[in-house]
Amino acid sequence: MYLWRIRMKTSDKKALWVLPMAGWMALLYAVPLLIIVYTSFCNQGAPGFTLENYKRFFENGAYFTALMNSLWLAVRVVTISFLITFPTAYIICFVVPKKFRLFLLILMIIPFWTNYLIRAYSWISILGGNGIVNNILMSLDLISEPLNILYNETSTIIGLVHYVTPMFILFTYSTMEGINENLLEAACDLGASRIKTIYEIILPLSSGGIIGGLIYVFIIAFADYITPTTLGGQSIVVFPQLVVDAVQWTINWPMASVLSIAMTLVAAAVIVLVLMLKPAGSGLEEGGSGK
Amino acid sequence: MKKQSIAVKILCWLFLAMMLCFILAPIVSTIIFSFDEGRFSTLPLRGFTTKWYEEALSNADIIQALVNSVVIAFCSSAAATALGFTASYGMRHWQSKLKSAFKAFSLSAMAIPWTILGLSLLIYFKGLGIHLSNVTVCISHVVFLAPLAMNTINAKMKMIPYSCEDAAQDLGASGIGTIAYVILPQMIPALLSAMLLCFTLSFDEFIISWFVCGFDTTLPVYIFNIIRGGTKPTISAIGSVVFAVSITMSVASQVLSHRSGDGGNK
Repeated sequence: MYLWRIRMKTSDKKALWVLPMAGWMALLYAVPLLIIVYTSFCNQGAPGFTLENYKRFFENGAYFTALMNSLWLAVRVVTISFLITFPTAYIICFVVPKKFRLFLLILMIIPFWTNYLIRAYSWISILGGNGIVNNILMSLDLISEPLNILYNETSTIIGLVHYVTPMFILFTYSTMEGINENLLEAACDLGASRIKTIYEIILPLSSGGIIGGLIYVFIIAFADYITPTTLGGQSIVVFPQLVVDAVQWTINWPMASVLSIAMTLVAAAVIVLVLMLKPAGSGLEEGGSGK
Repeated sequence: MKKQSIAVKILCWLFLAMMLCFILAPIVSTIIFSFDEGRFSTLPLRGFTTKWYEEALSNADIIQALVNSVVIAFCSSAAATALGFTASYGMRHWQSKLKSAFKAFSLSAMAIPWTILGLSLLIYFKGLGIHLSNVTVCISHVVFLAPLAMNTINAKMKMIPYSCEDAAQDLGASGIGTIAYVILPQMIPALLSAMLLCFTLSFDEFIISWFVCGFDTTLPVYIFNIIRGGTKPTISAIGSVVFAVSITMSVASQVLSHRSGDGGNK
């Protein structure tokens, strides 16, 4: 008993090593976030406590429109990136011979080594009227006039999908890799088609990584400022642009704080919703294996 | 598994090839246009030149921004790794329900939109009357890097058995001695890879830097200011240089951590 207490004590002492980080995060993360909440109730340029900023947020339709634009953009990016990422991870995991897998994965994550501003920027020369895509399509006689795919939502979506895809592939691949191949063989022996195997076994069993990836993609697509600004032209206004406008151009910090809080709450709500849908998915999986 | 028919296989490889084209297109086009004579980065190509590299590397603003970015990335990743390491060691011995709350709270710094992190730090620094400069950028970067470093290091720290520490202490090692001579040597590869990851993220980070950099510029902030004004081949040249440097660094660190890992096992 005495010995045990000594151990607890030294153990507690060692736990103090957490303090530098805890202090850092408290002072430079928790406190600033609380100050944002405080600032959101401040008057711009005058002392006093006000609800005016929140009132403006709810009364001005432009904020709501931008919020909807951002959500709609994020939904499309999440959907498209899932539709191309899942097959890619599946093919690398189950079709490609083992010796090529690592090499292909590394090729897929090569964009990590470039600056993401430059990645967004380079889409300008690819998608522009005189860009690579239009040149190729025109020389193949598929189109007679250059496609208008730059400085609008199409280019924004392409840029964002490209931005999130490498990480999403890693998320999906890492859980898919752990699936026991015997399960697939069993499914095959029992007469399941390839599609059915994917739908009933691979999809549910890799759902952990996929859901993590979906959340990551959603946060990026919903909160990214760079891609809509460099590739979106003036076509739509997304919510992060309003936050940045309030911070950098109109220097209205109380309004910027309100917008930030709104953005965090909406993002958090979506994530909670996704996580609540998860048990329904795993229930389905049990139903599938029970058949 | 069911034998895959040739047709399905070909389709799969075709799909992969298309994915690779999509994934690699921006890098390939950046490199191609950085060597092209034309001023507007459009097809057809107008001939080979290295003048954009010369222009970029002789531009004092670009060099200054690059130096700022490298110094910030180095300092913030070193600080984040140090904080992450100590915190990870502390967490190993922390038996409380608060532990998972602390972990979730720290990791949330990675997950919240960085626009918000940047804004909160901007208001905070201004409120405290701190002059905005490279130093504030560095401090801000540590806020989201430290939890990431902690998480990366945690994974390796878990693999060191507690008996290692007990043995060291039975043989008379002090608390600090145990960390310095027993834990730290085993953790070097993990610390290096955590630091490298942090370095890359810091080097790439734009929005927080932009908010809290004051009159200093980091490379991403500089690039942003240029690309708002339209296309410029010097940007492609910078992009290619950054790409070459970071890929060399990652390969080097992989080789290094591989070697040190082997050395540890022998």
